[in-house]
Amino acid sequence: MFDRIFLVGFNIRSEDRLIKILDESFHSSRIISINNFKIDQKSSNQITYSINKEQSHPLLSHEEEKDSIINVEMEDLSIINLPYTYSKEYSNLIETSIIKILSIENFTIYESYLSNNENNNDQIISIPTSNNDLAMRIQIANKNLKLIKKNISQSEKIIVYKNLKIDTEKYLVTLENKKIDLTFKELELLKVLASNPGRVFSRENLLKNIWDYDYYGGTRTVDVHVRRLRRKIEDHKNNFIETIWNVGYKFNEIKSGNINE
Amino acid sequence: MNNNSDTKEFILKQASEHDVKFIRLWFTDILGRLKGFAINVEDLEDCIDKGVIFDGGAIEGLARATESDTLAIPDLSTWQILPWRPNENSVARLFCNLKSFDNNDSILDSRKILQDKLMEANKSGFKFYVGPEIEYYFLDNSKTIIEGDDAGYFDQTSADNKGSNLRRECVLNLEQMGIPVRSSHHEVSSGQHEIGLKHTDALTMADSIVTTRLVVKQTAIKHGGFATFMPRPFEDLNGSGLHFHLSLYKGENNAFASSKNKELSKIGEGFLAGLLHYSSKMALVTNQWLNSYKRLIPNLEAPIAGMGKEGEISNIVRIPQIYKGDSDNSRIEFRLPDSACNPYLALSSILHAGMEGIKNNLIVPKNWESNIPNTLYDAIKESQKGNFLQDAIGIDAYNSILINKEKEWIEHNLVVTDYERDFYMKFL
Repeated sequence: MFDRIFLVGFNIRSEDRLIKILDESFHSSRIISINNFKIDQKSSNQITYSINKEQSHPLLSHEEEKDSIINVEMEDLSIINLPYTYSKEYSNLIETSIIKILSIENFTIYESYLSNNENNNDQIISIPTSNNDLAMRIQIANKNLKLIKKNISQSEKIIVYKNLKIDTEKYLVTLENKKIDLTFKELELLKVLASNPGRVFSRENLLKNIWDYDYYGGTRTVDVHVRRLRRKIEDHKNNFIETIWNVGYKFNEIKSGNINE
Repeated sequence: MNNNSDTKEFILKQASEHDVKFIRLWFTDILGRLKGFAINVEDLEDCIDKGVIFDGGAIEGLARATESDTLAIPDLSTWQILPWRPNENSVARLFCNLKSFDNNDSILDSRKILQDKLMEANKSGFKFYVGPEIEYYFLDNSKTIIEGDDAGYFDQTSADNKGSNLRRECVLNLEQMGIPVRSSHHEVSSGQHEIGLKHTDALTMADSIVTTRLVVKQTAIKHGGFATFMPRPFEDLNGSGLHFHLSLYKGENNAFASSKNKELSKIGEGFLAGLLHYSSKMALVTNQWLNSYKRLIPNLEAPIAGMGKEGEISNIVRIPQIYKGDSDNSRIEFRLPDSACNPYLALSSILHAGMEGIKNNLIVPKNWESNIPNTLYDAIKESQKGNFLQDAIGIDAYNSILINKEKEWIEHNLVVTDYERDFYMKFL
């Protein structure tokens, strides 16, 4: 199930109701309420937000309070209330969140949203929502998450960036047509980062995805492996992996024009 | 586990891709000497699934003779093709954990002892990270200093210096094996070199140290020479130490980093105090040979003094200076161990000492009086006071080492040396 559930742009009354429902059925997820937010242009999944402390609900998670920058990870669910005036910030947020449920109070907003977003498979709820409806939407969102994860591991069998080629099926990595020997974990790390260029991964997230849990090294294991990986695939011409200070790592978004090059 | 089957598939594919013919299964005896045996690539899948049974009866401290059937279970994360072997019919290695075939407890597996110790620290949320500096001598094949090596500390000698070329080849081999080297340089004495490895978790590091010792020795032999990690190979030259740079992490944060303007956090100070408090008791493990104590004679950089004078090279511990704001690099350098220790047990003892220091709020003494044993015999006696080593490495491992070391001391006492004849016959 989801690590965190973001509630974005709700008024106190609707938020209150949503939190009660979420707390009953999805107790293991942390609920975070977001009021004002900005999307970081440099990394596609980083958002800066502010919390209105006076409005803060007792059931909300307070962990993130001191830090007002969060990375939206794949395992996060965003429940976004579409405002009457559909802004650039909102469309960025919708784009940033992989798994999302849109809440719509008024049908005309939905129509203007649809005209801006073709081919849309998002979950929609209307406010006020019923317990069952929301729970069902979240279950569907969870299924979608599993599907997306499966697709990532299946569809991109060969990933090509500039002169770096990763054949995930044959476990083969070449740089400028020269074979690079990677360990299994290094390869997995490269695979996850390169499958999601521009997306910032926290150490915690990479550790969970690649190691499950590492008793001996903890999250620092990720740094050690990234360091080794970079030593093997990077030089003064090639810079694939970028360290995001205080957050984690991302794969640079310099994709080659033609995948068959 | 799903993850494990992926790893297995990766290993099998890489084995065929690189034309691997043999796989060496590695482990160490209780004294940290690398042991192992090879299996054929056809048996690799079976070995991954079930492990391999071998007769461990003759290996030091491994098992009692009556229950010698030992099961070697490979740790798949340690899969590595050995770079110094040919590209065709190449050779790979896997580190193994050991179990008795019919009784789980009776095998002394140094690697498992360290794993258990790390799990114990993990319960308090700590991860143990280590960066070592390993000193050793490159010699010619008659085991004497290579002629023409008059270089000294950090000397950048000309390209024809055989030792420096050997060191360069070792570093390249290590890098190829995924063991990143932080620095390497010529040491103080002729023929003496140092390789520093980049810090990583203690288990991977113990594996890396054992691997480094092999790489250095293999490289020297390949070029008709010899390498030794003996603690004090020549009476007129410096001993070879294994300095450990130690840090604890809690989550993503260095637990030794002080938020105030101090060198170490409270946790760091507790760890340091524990190290100092128990150093004399762990000497039997960190300095386990008769010869180890010839390195610990005052002078020649022997790390046996306290931390009285700032920057003294003879200090047993040192807090390396870090750039302002680089608190992530906070660490303690512990200089007592020598290059011939068992890194698994040495790191178990060091971690245990540090954790005891933290748990019991030990204070770093203002004037620490060195009580490091002078001889192997003293180290044996010192280790018998209290339960420190028993708790640090387990009662079975401790007893096994004790028997081995008492034997070493008694056997050496039976030998009449050239030194004695030269000295005494003048007047007796």
